[in-house]
Amino acid sequence: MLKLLNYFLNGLLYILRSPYTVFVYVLRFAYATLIFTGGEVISFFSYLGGKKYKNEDPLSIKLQQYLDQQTSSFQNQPQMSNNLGYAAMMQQVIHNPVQPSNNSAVPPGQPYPQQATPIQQINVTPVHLDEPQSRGDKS
Amino acid sequence: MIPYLIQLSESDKKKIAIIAIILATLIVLIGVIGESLKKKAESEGKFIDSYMFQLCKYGLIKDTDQFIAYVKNKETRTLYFETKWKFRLILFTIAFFFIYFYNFKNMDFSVAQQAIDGLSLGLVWPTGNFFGLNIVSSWPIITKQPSPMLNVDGYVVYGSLLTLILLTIFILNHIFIYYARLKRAKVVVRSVFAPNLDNTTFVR
Repeated sequence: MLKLLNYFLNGLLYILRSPYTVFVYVLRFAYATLIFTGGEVISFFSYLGGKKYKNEDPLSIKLQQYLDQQTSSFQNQPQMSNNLGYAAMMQQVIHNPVQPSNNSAVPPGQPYPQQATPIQQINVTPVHLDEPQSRGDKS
Repeated sequence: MIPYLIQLSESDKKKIAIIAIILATLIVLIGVIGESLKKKAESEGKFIDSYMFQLCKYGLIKDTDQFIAYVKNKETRTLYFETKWKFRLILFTIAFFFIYFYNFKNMDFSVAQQAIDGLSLGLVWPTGNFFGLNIVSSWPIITKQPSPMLNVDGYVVYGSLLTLILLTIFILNHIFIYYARLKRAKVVVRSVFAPNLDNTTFVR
């Protein structure tokens, strides 16, 4: 009932304000007509200039470029940063797995050469547990 | 006033009650429509949040003036792109109307006037003297029934009129949305760049 009364009072207010509202909307329509005229003039000159007038603004393009740049720099980062969190680090590893170097001296199709220095044989002397160990005894 | 109401017959009192109920219903309906328009304005205004959030987040817009100027610029451009074909159609319709009357009627617009008059209803309201005022005293007498002109001239006039009215309503809808978004920008900008001390402490 209270809501109905509220609607009734609002309705009365709207009726009383209707001449003002109509006047305001007539002015707004005139303003929209001016906007249309201005837009048509800009479209015409853009067309003469060989471009199409589009609904885009430099700031949102700048933002899009900035976001794209952020994404690409994040994906192409060669080294892992310790400042990143674990999840971001893992994302880097997934997106940039360790690739074999293309700057290898071995031409493609050739067998990989033998290592120049052979691995040294380490002679390990066996330790006899039966013999008594003398620690720090210099005699 | 009260002795006059007492003098009224029962059927007259019923008529007055019915008229009062119809009037009250109409006023309530206008109130409901107004409230729903308010809600529509609020929901349409929230559209600016979708593109302003990131611009403010990444510091491309730094103060209130820049915020309002950007919203106005963007919404004006959107208004042009949304309404350009509607305005062009209005121009085409007006041009078609004038070309038709120039070619076939030798710029004689009396046919158009007759066609529009054909839609009207002729009513004569009987009046009576009430406390020295000449006011409506009974139901109206219908003197003319609507008789639309059903020939090519009539179709051209009615078609043009209907197209113009519909296109104007569509354009007014876009104008309404445009001003709703500007209003939202003016309201929301106060809190976007205002320092907020809620949930903040400087105690060391």
